Amino acid sequence: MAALLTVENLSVTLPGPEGPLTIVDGVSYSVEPGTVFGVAGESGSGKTISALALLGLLPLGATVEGKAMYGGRNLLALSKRALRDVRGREIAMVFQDPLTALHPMMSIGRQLSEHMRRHLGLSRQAARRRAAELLGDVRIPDPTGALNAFPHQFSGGMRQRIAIAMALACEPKLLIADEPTTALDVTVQAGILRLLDDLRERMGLSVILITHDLGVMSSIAETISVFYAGRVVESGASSGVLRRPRHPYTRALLAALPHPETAGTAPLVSIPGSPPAAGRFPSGCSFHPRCAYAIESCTTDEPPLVERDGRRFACPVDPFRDVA
Amino acid sequence: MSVLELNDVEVVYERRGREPVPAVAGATLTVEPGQIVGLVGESGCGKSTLARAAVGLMPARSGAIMFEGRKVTPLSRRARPRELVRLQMVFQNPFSSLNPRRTIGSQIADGLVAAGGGRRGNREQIAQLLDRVGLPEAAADRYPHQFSGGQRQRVAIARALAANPSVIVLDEPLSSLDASAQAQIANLLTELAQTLDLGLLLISHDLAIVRHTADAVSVMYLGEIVESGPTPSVWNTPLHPYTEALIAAVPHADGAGTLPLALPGEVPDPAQPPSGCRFHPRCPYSFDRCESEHPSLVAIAEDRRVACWLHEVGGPVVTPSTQAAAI
Repeated sequence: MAALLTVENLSVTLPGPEGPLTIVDGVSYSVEPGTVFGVAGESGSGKTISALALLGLLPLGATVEGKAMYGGRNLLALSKRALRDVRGREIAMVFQDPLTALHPMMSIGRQLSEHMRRHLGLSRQAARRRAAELLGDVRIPDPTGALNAFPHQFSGGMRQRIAIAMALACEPKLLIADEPTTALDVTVQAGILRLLDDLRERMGLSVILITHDLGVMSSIAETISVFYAGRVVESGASSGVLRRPRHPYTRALLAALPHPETAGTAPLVSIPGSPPAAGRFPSGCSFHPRCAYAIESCTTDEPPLVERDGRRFACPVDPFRDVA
Repeated sequence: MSVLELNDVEVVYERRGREPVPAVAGATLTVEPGQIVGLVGESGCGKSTLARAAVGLMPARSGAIMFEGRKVTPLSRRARPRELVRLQMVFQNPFSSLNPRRTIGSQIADGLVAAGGGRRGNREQIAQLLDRVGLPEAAADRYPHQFSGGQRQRVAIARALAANPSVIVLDEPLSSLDASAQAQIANLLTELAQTLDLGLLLISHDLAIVRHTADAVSVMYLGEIVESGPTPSVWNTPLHPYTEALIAAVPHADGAGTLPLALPGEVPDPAQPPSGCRFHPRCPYSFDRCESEHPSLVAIAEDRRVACWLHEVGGPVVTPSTQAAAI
């Protein structure tokens, strides 16, 4: 099947106080229809900025290079006007904090119908009817009553469901969800993950799921890319990447997670140091100052992302090639 | 003897013109020297309120809070009694709990002065404390903005340690940190509890971290402790249906692609808690008695306490699903 979205060599540079900062550095990936594609990484790794770039939502002064092919068009080359029609209609986004994503002084019904009237040309009444349907779809109790309510009257999990309903209003083909469950409790998180999976299955929705939580990733993503310092360091089927990571960073991230078998007996294996600040990435392989397997060439040569054994990873040392 | 003891503590928020909110409705827990006690539960269950009450930041409506055999009095305008200085707290956000305009060293010295031992600017003691939390001596002359989130949390811990505490209450100390920093701080806490014989009350919504770090765990739901016991035993055989649901909701990074189980419903309004067992509207096993009678926290086996009508004193230690099938 043809990919829904193909990103090639995406780079983003933002203006900084001491000159431009490269936040995203030559990222490539593709999203298949009806699948969840996961973007993993720590804060400052460029995972959010690379998604915002697709929708033209970058801060003023940002420069973008590369290609993002969606339906035969390059999203990065579209005019502002053309992009406005894509945004919300074809590709929608859900943010981490549902409280800031919803307007506090506007009723849920009005927030939900506004863009349906614009994009789909529905009448006020038709949009309202559809809004109630959507709230039912994301399992908000008493959807018609909820239309007249305001965001503060709902809990965090409910607000995130409403934000998802809003994103789905114009039946987008692709949903970009940026840390959609990070602010939520595990019990509520499980509900949101099941909702996303259900929408994928029922409506053929594709999802780009951005999260630092590898547990969340494992439960729902089909393929994943691991970001570090603005680059993809490893990508492939999530079952493979999480079970047999080939890049030292992916392996270290997984090792730092509390594991049921070692609970209370061994200390957690933490990664030394901290991730580099966005745009101030070390030379060569950005991970080399924290990597236990780094050799001299790692400090100078930027490792390419190569495919080996059905996996793409950027580590010429490949210390885990024989690890089962 | 327990170094920190909370007995049937109730904390109520008064609201002008509206009914009061009993955020903590009778909680009992103890912390022993050298022990890490985890307190877990969903947001809004009252765990942070309980933490604040435990150190005297919030007055308790009823019940007793004892620290080293003395009553913990709520904070007032007067200086805190010297005996309570050895009960310390670390907050969630190290970006707001440290003063941005003062050096790390002078903020750690506050703790030394509070304990009555040190003079302001005792470099040697400050260097020792920094070393204890894994920071270089030179950090003393720097300001909070020069450090990452994980390093700042280390500073906050060093400041608490400066008062030579026997108990530290930590309210979500890891949740604002990246994965690698989380692991580092969790390891530091384990080491401090062991080497200094410190009792730690670790409040967290991250069950995986609590499971890894805490010796004992208490599970809170809507202002009440519904289950407590040694961590491995609670994890392997949860007794309360809520504990079972919490554990099932944790996703695992095993690449198996299994979706975690969702707990239906929402946490009810604590101002109007459900009748009987507070969990019954969301409980898959609830029966008649749960709607009308309130279960209290009882020990059904050694070290294993639960507030659930499915279990009885001396009964088998089995999960709610097994027990429900047997009845």
